[in-house]
Amino acid sequence: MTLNQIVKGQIARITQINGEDAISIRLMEMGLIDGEQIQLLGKAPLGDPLEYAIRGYRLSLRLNEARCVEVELV
Amino acid sequence: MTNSPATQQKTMTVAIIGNPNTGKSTLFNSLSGGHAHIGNFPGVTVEKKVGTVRWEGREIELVDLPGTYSLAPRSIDEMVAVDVLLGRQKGVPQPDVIVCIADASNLERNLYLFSQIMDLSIPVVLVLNMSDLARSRGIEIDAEELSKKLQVPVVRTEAHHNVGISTLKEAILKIEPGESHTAQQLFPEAFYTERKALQDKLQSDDQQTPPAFLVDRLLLDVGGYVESYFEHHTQNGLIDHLHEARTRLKESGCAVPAIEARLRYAWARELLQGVISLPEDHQDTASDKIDRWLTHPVFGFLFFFVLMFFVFQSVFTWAGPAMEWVESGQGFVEGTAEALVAPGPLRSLLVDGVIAGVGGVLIFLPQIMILYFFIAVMEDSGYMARAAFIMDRLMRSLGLSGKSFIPLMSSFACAIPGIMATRVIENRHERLTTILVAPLMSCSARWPVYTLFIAAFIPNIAYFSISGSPIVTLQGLVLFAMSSIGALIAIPVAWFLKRICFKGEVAPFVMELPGYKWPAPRHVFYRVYNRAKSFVVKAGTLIFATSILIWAAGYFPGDHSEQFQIETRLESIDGSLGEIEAQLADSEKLESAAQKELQAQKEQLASEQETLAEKQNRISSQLVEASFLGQAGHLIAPAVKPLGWDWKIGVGVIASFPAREVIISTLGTIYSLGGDVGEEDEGLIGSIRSATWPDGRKVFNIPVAISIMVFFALCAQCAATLMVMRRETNSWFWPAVSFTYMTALAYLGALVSYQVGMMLS
Repeated sequence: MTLNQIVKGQIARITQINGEDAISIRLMEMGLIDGEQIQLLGKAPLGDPLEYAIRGYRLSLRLNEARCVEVELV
Repeated sequence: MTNSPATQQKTMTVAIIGNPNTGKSTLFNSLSGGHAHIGNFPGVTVEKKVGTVRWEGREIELVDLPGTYSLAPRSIDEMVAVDVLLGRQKGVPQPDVIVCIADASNLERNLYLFSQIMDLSIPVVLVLNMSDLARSRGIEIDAEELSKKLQVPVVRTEAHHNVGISTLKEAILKIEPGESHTAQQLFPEAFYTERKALQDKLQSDDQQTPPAFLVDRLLLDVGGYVESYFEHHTQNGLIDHLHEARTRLKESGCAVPAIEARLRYAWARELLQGVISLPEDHQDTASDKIDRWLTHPVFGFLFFFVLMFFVFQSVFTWAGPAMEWVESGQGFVEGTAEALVAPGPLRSLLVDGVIAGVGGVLIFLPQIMILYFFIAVMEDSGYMARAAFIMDRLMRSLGLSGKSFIPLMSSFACAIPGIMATRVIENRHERLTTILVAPLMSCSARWPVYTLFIAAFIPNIAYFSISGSPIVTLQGLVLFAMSSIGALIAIPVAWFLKRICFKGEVAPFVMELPGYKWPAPRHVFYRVYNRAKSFVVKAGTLIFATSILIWAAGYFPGDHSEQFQIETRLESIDGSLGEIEAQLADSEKLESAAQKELQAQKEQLASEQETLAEKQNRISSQLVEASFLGQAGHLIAPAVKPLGWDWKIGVGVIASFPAREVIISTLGTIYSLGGDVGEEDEGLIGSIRSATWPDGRKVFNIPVAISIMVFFALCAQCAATLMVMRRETNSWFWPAVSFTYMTALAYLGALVSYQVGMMLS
């Protein structure tokens, strides 16, 4: 599954970042590395973007950016 | 510390770099004492902030680099920081020391950038800022242990409270110029082998050895700026070589770009083992609890709109009195100048050129300062990122992102602070798009124009009333339509710019939501002050020059001697009248015969005054017609005829290119009313209503009024906006584009409204 599919409060482990474009590089620079845990904290009022917790900080991702991240639930 | 005379003389360059939201600007302000020289790096839209200070007799040049998460440049703007650090940026010496500021409450991610800086072999000081926030979240960091492991000085600060600043200064001063440290070997051997091969290849092509750091970037950043630079500047199959090298790296299990992030984050985690103790995972912080309300589907939106309304309203209402002070100050200076200088070219230059020009600059200051105050508070408190978070989905339908909302909304008050506010947008194309459409938003200077023409020509019909008081009127609807037309046109313009002109990959919106904190008043003050200063100094001089030019175009080449004679006579009549009034006020002491004589004198003077004033206005309007400005008006008369305009409207429109509200006083002059008229002046409304073409037809009707209003709604008639645009984009190209497309749109819009209006009526 991908990161946009987890529900609020759920914690998932990153398995892979897809792609080599600007978005996936930025995601990796922000610490989204395979093996890392990530939690969905909430959504913006219009359902996009989404707020996540990773490495102890809060990160906002758009749905299409979250789709680049393969995860598995823990 | 060694302070030999030689080292005392040499200026030490200190570059400050860090992730966004780490309190970098606050730290820079604390170190520089608030004195910064703000400009632009040549050729890019990146702000250059330099402060020169003297510590212990040593001159230090502080260079503030833009906040960044990584040193892997993807655009020419992001390349600036790398060029400065490598000493390749013109006008900035290579830094002797790099101060890397990290958010102590989020150290692991901040160490990613730090590990890239360590590869530069330049002495570095690591600053753990916001240590108070970290401690309050239960994060404990052993700074001494960290320093020992890194072999780098580590300083704890709370820049918001000015804590730890002197320790940081000492740590910087302890570093010897020319000192360097060896870069660590983070990557596997295969990587360094490929780097060496690539370096040799570049050297054989170019006879120059590029810095190892750039070769790393070339190898690591797939589709990055360094790669595209070399792609355009080298031949000899360098790019093929690069692709082969990357394939070989992938085969040996270190595929770029993934390898870099994986290794650096692994390094950071290992480094922090035994250095940091974290609270239990997935714990709600105070910031999360606030966020639950401020990004709530209903309450979050509500709060955002109430806040925006408040900001918008404040810019309007609070700026009002301050703008009146500017105006009355201007009036006072004008009065003083008139008292000191006799009517003549010098007085005209002083009053109508210089003082009006300076006033035209200062009038924008209140709005800029108030808006910047709110922006500084929102950014400093962490709310700005939430505003972008909330508005992103809506703004994306325009091809923009949430970060464009506040600049565009601000532009409804005034495009100048709006364009200045686009600094929060990191992506160059998005920032340019926002800057280019910002002047289309209906700013407050357009209101006088709408008010005049609506009052004069739109019938006051009420469509909906509650207990006798009209709620929806035709005049109100036209005003609303005029205020929204620019914003509506901005949608296709933004779409066109994003899809056609700035084609390319979609900018990532990946954005940190920093923890909420109280804004530091000192820091807010510095930001407002620096913005205001740079506006007055940079844009102000150019606005001033434009005002003088337009004054000269309206003054020359006519013969003004008769006008000045009348002016002198009028002033002496004014003086005599004052004296008579004063004597009459003391009338008890006078005999009735003397009183009568005074009354007669007064009446005679008053009637002379009236005749002279009329003559004066007639001469003024003749002089304007004969001036270069008037000649230009006649010249463009055929071009504006399809819009339903005569040459007088043409002159008014040309004269209002530096500042659109000038149309009112220009029309006043042309219609022989003198320049001192307001938008609700009955005389002006009456004059334009009765103006006729030479054949006796009325010049103005509803389609003409609409065509003028549409023109003003869409045209870039504001020199100040264009100057600020030049300053912010660091080029004349973008203001020229904006001016051209907006003038074309305005002409088309006016043409369509007039022609369609005439067909309908």
